[in-house]
Amino acid sequence: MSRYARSPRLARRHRAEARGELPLAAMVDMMTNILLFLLNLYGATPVALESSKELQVAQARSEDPVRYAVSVAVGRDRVRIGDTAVLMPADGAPWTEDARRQVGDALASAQQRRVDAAAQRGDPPPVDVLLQVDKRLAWSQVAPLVGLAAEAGLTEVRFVVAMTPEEPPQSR
Amino acid sequence: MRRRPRLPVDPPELNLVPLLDMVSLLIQMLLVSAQFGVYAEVDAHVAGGAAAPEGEPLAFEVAVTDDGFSLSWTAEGGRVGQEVACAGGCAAGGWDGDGLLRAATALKAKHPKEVQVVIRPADGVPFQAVVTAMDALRGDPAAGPLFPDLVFSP
Repeated sequence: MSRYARSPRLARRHRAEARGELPLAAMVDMMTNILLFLLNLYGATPVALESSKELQVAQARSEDPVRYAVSVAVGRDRVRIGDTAVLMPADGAPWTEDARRQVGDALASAQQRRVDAAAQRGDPPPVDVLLQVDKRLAWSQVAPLVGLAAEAGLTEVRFVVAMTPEEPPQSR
Repeated sequence: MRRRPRLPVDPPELNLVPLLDMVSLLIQMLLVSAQFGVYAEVDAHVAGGAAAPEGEPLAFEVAVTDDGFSLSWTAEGGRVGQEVACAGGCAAGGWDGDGLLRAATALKAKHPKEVQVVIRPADGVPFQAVVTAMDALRGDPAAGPLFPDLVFSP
């Protein structure tokens, strides 16, 4: 006579233990929650924002949500506009003509695509540009980009900042 | 008629392993591209564009310099100035955003209809100092806007 013949519950438990089954339902629950959290996070901003050691955005108390526009990431080592990356001049060095031309061309190209898309929709041409600038860069390295954007017709400049709602606006 | 006894049938078990595989891959992909910071934006205009300085009576300007913030505006036919020095030294990154906020709030109280300010950063100041000035001049989000129309002068 079997050891578990009188207790079906013990017999089922014994069978499960013998097969070595993991309780996967709990793991699926947990991973589904993580997935939902990340999907929610993924759709929080309409543009891909860069964050790295070379690009630390400034902090501010602004609560205005980031809107889609031509996006320019200005790190300490390079400027990235879409697929175009241009090396930043060394500290204090002026922008070379070649670098200015590359940035200007990339901005004009990105702007032209948006203007064409807006024309197809019957909307007025957009004039905004989204700048993600490293907070440690000197203004002399950022100002030429603002000027180049204005030359490309992008006169509304929106700077990406990290929200610090509880802190006073002290610079760091 | 005698009915046949019902055969014991175990409830069907879902095979969760492929689902776990797929979810694991999705999580890895999303983790790689996740942005955990909370971002916002501060908008401004470039002088010479569509929103050039309007020649408002106040003609409020703020220079961001290596010594702090330098405010100037028109009052009683002349230019009036005010300095907001760095708290703890500018070299340590102490541009006094609170001081600028107080000065802008006092000016706004006297000129409630004015909304524009021209910002003139010096070449050597870090970008964080410029954002600190913009943030203070726009005003505390909880207390209402001060000078939300920010214009950069090249």
